Amino acid sequence: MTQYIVRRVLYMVLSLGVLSMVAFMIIQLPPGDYVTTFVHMMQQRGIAVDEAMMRALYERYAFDRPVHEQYLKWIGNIVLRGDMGESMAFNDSVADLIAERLTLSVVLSLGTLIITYIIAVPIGIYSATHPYSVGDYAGTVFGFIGLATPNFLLALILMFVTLRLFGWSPGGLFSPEFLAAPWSLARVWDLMKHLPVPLIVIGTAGTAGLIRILRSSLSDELSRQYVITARAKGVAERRILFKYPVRIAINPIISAIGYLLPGIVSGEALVSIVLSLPTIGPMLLDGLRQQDMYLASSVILMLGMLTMVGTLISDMLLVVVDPRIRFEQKN
Amino acid sequence: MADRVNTAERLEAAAAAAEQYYVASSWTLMRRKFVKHRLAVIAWFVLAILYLAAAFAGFAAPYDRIASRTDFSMAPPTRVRILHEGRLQAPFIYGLTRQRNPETLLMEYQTDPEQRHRIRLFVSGDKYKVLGLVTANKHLFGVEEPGVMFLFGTDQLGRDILSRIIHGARISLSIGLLGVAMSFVLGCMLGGLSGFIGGPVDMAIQRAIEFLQSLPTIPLWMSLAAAIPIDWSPLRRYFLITLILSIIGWTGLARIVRGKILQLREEDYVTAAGVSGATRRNVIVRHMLPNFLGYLIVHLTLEVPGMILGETALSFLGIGLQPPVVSWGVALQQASNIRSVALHPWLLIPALFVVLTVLCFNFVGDGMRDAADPYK
Amino acid sequence: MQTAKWMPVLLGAALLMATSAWASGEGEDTASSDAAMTMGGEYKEAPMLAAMVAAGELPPVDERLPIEPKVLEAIEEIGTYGGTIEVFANANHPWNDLADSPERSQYPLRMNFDGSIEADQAKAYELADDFMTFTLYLREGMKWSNGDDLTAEDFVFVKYQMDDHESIDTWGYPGQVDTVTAIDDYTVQLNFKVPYPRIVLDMLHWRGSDWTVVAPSTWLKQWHIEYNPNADAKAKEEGFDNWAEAFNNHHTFCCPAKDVNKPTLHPWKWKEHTTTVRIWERNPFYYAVDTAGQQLPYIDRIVSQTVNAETYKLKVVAGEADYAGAMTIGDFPLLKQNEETGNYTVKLVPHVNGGDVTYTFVLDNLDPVKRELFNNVDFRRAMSLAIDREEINETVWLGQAVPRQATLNADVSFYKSEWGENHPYNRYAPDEANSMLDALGLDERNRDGLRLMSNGEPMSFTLTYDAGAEGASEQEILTHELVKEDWAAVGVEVNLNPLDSDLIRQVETEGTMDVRATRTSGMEMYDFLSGNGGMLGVGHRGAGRFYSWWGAERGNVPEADRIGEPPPEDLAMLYQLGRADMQSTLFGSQEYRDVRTKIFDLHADKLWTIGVVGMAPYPLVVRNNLGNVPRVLPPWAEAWLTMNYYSNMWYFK
Repeated sequence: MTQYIVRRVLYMVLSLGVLSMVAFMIIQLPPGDYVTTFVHMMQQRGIAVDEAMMRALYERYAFDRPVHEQYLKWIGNIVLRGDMGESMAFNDSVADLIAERLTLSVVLSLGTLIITYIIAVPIGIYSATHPYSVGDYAGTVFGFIGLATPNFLLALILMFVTLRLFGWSPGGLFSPEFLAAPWSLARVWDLMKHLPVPLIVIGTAGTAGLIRILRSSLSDELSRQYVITARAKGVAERRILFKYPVRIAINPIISAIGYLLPGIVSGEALVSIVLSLPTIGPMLLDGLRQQDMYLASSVILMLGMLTMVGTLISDMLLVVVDPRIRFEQKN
Repeated sequence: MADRVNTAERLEAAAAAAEQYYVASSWTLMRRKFVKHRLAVIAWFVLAILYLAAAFAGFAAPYDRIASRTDFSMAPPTRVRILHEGRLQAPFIYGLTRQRNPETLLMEYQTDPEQRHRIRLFVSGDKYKVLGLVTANKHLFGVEEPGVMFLFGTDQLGRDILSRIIHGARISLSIGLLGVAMSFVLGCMLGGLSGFIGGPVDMAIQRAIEFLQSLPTIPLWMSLAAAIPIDWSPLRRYFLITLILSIIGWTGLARIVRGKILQLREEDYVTAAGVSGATRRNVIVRHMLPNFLGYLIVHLTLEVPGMILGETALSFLGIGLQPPVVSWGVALQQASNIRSVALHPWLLIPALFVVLTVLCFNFVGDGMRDAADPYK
Repeated sequence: MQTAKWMPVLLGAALLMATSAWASGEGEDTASSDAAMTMGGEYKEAPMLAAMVAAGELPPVDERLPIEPKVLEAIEEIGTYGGTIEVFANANHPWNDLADSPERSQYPLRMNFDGSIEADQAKAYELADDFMTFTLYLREGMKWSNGDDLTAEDFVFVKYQMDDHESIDTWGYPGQVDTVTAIDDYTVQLNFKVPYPRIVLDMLHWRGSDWTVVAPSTWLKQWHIEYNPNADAKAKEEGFDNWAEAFNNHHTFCCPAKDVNKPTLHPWKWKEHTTTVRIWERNPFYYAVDTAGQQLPYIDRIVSQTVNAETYKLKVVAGEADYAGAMTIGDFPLLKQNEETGNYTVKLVPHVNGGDVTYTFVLDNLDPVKRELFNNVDFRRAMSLAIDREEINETVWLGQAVPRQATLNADVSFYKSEWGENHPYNRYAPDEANSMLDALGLDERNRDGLRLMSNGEPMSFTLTYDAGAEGASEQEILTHELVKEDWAAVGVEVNLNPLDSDLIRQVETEGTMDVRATRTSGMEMYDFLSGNGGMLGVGHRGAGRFYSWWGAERGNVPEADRIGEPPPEDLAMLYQLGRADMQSTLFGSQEYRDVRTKIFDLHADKLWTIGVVGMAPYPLVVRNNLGNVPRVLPPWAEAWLTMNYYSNMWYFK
């Protein structure tokens, strides 16, 4: 087991190295750079930036250096000092910016996860145990509508509808008075009040996948010999269901946890843009759009790292949860 | 005597049924199992209609997809009527008059009962090309000029939303299939290589897959879409965007293929086939492939909706297809604002078609998943 | 009464132009009128500050104000203190609605509604007759927001201790400035290398701000090695590598302030900012008072939340914004419908843009056949006649824009209607267009009905527009689609080619674009030579590679770097006029008007740029109880020139 983990960690470090390069390169792919974006923004605002000013900007951001040099400086600072550089658009340290937004992203992700499970697990179990029943159809249709609706549109419509019906303040995660306030009970409560719409939109998108995994793996399990044997021996249905099959059917869900994070960030990004949520997603997209390279690269790198750690943890969890895998490991 | 005959007949019938089951090809069984999933069957028909309409979009749509009718800008959906002055009639519609509201500056439309237009089948209208070959001007249904009928309303330039949905289906529905085809080729090839050759190749491909899956999708799409050369025609852009969409799709498939190959390699019947002298190629194509083709098809079916949604997401971000190309994503991009939701909700109707299609693909996929292992 | 309140609307663009009022203004006289107003002595302050004075945290108001504060006349009435103004910034335009300069900012000079220029931060100013020297007279006793005195040293420091220092990042003084001298503590003199009358305009906006020409030197010196030998040690203590890094960090060369404590001269100072919210609080040392002797601003605090464009509109509709202007004409119906529930008033206010959609055929196109065609004025005229502007206006612009050629706003004092609305080719005459095109030898058509050019190729062009976040609005794109149909009707195909802003910049000089669509910036009055001249200046979008020739002429570009062919004669003439303007005409003078009249006559005659519609108004939302808001506010481009948001005088009734 230890050896397995060590090997996995080594791979991970290697992958991260490659990821960091790709993350850095991705920003360089489209033409232009932050300076051109900035100059354009200034021009829209009626401010002409002349050659000398542009030169000043290029020097300031060290864009006049070769790309590999810029990369080495960036990655070097991350490895040696944990310094991810500066965001040009926000004029602030990337680490601080990520910290500012990561908390809310995590809150949102966890909330979404809980919602997803609350909706998906009962429907999945019901569907597997009552295949082709009206309940199965109704449950899956319900579960799938969330998946089938383009998220950004659902968010927009819900934002409008909740304003009209309940007078909810549209968008954002906080009321103005709590925007820059330090964390307090009142602020948490304020956050809770703003969460329903985003949670519903992002959460429903994920339920369908879970329902499907659960339904199919559970119905596979239910047709196994040991279930039939148990049933023949007169074990109560409920006990049959929850003693083994459900536990085993949960496995694929655990192994999916590792990939949940990039999935949620991707899914969350569009919704967060529409709802103006101060999370990582929109910041990453803006970073990419404005070619704010240290910001965007660092966020991608960090998400990649979290995903890799996530898969590692979920693999280890599987070993703990499923004795069969534990057995394989031993041999 | 009669009793015995009956019993014998019954036994025979039962045996025949059993035999039918045991000798039936796996495809037959799959179909039977699939048919049990009633939602899947309905979904199958809905999809068939959608694809058919897309193929013959010029005929199915009442109007041209691009030509503007500025006299009917932002007209709400036309109501089809069967009652006129209390009397039942063949379906017809009233004419439209309009006026700008001096306060809000909105164009407001009123029906004009003086003008009535019967809805007819096979009416003449805008010209189009059948499958890109023959020019025609007959449309499935519509009203004769100067009457206008917009079942789903019009957009700002007075273009019929229904017609744009039908024409847009060509791109939006095909992008899924094409993307999936690309995923299929990539996934089978790389997954197959990984499973068969093993060793360092397997190692490299697995790491690559892990790597791609650890990237958040949307930023990846964004950077790649932004890097598409500017002077590319809409068609080439379309292909490239499809390719970008399938760049994540193949990884899942490759994993399945590899897993199945590894698993099946150890199965007795494969070993048996090998021992009895079947060539390696034969083993793969005749014995292994049919065994997991079902899974692949299921997987692919379930990938399609992701691609369709991906197209709308890219359009929303402004990096997908662009007008004047007509696709569902483009339609939704133009409708995804507060103004449409509040004042012109009919602009959102294309979203219903996205939902419908994605639902259908999911149900068909589910039905196929149940059917994929027909011996269960 | 309501109408009277909205009357200044007419002045919207006039502020650029109403020049007679300004003509006398070398500044001295306005300053003396200020002085007369402030002899009284006793000033009043906001309760919020009075409490701080009572607690001993602040000196009394009379000590905080300069000896002669700037006295501002109220737009409607004298206001009362207090309140937080809540606004939203659109993520794509983070500087909207008070969120950033210019709305929140003040500069050495200011331009009034009538286009007259007067001293603001400065007490007076003087431009020498040869335009080689510019002098600013500062207000004695005027202070930065931390209480440090504003002196001539704050200007000299920027030039010699910041701009000239390699390791310090600055925007730099406007390039024509040669030396900056402190005549005494309150007098700064700028000397130019070449005549530079435009300095007066520079001093109206950010070019004359703490971004560029002035800095709180007393405060900054603690990080500067020449003034603090321990600056390096101090920097290390703060976690920086060296003094320069620390200095740059505190000074903040651009945009979102890094150190919110950096002293300012503006009415509000930074309190806090995150990626989603920015908060400012009143500057206790602000240098202006109203006519009743109350220190400005009236409003205590600004809270600006950055949200997505659609959320922005919904917030406004929900009545959460006290003030909002970052929307387009298309949003008006929705805003109007919700006026009552949202407790605000929405008005359509005129935009200074002379052209909201304009097309330029790229004159230096690489294809010789296209180039010849595009350079033929009859071709451009025919294309103009083929556009149905009325239909476009009704369908896309709610009938509120003006069908006109690309030219200046009609409220300009020297405006001629033949440049815009009554331009001879501002009609819809497709038949005439057809026969004009036929006469150009373009009478053969292919099977699709497209005209054939002299090389037998069908007339099919790309129409490039900016699809970036700041690019073409929805209305602009719809207009392109309608023009595409109009042009197809006369046998000319255009394919819309949306490009990201960066790509446009890149291909602009490659000669590969056919038709370039843009809007005019409204800045033509200010700047003919830079990109801001938009398509109406010399650097109009069709000029592309001609820039390199003009750059070479001025010595900015090496001769060897010139690309393509030299500019055609008529365009060269436009350039010479622009050059002359830059060095020798003073804003508002007769000469200034003459040169500009010539320039726009030339534009109207040559029709390098075809206009479709212009002067489309935009919706402005103001909370019903917010007073003193001039309802003529322009959104961005022109705002920095005019500065007339007067936000320091807004108050809650």
